[in-house]
Amino acid sequence: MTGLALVGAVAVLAGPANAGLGVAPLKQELNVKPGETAKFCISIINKMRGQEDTAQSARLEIMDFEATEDGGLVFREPSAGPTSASAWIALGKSEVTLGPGKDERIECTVKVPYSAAGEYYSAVMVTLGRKSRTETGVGLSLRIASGVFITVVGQTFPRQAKIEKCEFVWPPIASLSDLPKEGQPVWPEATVVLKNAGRSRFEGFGTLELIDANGRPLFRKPLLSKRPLVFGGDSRLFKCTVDKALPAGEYKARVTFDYQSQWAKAYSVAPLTISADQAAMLALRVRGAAPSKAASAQATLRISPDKLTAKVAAGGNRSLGLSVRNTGQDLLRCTATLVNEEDASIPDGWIAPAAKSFVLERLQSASLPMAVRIPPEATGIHKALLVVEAVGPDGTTTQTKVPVELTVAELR
Amino acid sequence: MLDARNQGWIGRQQAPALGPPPNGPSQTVREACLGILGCLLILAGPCLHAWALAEWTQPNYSVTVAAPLIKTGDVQSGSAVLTLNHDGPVTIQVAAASSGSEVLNSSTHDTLTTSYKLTGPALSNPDSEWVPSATFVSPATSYSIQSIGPASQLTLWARAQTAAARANDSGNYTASLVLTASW
Repeated sequence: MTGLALVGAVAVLAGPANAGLGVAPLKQELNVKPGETAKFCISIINKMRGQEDTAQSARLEIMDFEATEDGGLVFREPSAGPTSASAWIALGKSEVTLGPGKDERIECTVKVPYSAAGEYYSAVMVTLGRKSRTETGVGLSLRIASGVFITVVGQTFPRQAKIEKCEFVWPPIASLSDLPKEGQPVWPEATVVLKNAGRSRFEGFGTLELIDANGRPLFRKPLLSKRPLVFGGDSRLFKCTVDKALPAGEYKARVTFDYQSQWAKAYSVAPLTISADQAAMLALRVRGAAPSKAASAQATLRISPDKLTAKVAAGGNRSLGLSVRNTGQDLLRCTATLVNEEDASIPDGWIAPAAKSFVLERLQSASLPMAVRIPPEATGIHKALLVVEAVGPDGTTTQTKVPVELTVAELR
Repeated sequence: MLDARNQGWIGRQQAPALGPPPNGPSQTVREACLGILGCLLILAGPCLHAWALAEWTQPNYSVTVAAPLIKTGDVQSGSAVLTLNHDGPVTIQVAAASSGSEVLNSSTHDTLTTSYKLTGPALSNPDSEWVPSATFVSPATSYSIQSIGPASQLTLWARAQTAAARANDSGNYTASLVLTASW
């Protein structure tokens, strides 16, 4: 028999056009005391797009997950793993069908055992209901996972981190004048593995510095990860490219990580030798990338409004939002951090940006929503600065500070 | 006593109007759609969240391959464009729908050499080469969208190759994948 396998033109054999489902939020955090029950919600949305829209269905289930070293997530059937909260969570519904323009909030409960301490995680997996109808080729089913992060209030575990590895990978130097072929690396790359040695999760923010034999820092750049959040016991890969001309010689590669600890940062220092060939290659490639660098130097981040003020009732919630726009020609990697002023600060947990780190393509604008939740016992005026830091491809950093002021009104 | 952070939306005020004028008509439409979705969430009640959402704009997709595979060693490929609306960084993980289902196989259990790639301007790590099916669905492979939307287009490519040293069974070959968008 000869192979007569796959037929038909390239096609997308989906259902009616624009008929998917949305899920919100993509993650949420719950602080619950041992032995208590908390509620949380998952929203499923069938957005109205046109007259031909149809009802859509979805299936919900609780799943365990774990993160891989490079930041991917692996979802598994619920188990009794040491950080799994799956057995504690009850979904209000396991199936939902929504007409066009409809949405549904599904209330879920989590009951934390008396013996629990620390941090636990699970995901609510929403599988879009309609299966692919392909008779030949590849059928794709679609899912959206919403993370549920539970911190059991009471016993606290200190954040602990250590840098396990710092390596440099240089592209092959076949001929100094040759440009790399497509798919080949252009720049040397630093690879750093950060280990969470404790039980509390944290977000890692790392920087690589190359310091010459005279103690001068000649290169400084943030280390980036697909997932800066590192769960207890996990290791995470962070990377950055060395895209600056550096003279040949002996260097110290100093890596510093802020891991959201008030007390310490993680450091490591390793020797690095840049050979004459490697220095020549860097110089050539920097020269080749010069126009892009000139453009990126002018890259700026435009943020509006320039101040965020809100009046919120004690015990109330609301949303705030910023518009951010990359007005330059190069990609910007941005981080948003709430920094407290000395007096009347905004306590941790009151404001949660939807994304603490994000990327803006050239000329891209986007919104940065923030959830505000005020505890019932709070009063007064609270101020902080939202610092948005943007790093261009050449390491140029710009910082924009947006004052945030919350006035907490007493409940009447 | 519980403290469910990010849990509710009791406040009645919506987020301030966001953003300078968008870049073009298609972006306008996408941003408007996300805006409407956000408003729906804010207005819907105390447990909703107006942010951190993801939405596949189709309930499913299929990729078919362009032309019949006739002889040994033939290679054909196809692709499908997937749209994901989102307002925060997103990770995409690909898995086999069931054990071994990432490989194109026939009703007679014959198989084709199957490879994939996922590309798109929003991906921070798009594939530049074909990825063997087993690697593509391995937990170690994941794709990251670090932008905050409002819409990202991904292209899933599939390639089928008949065996080099023997004739494959004739008929239709199918595979099944699951794409998961997560925080």
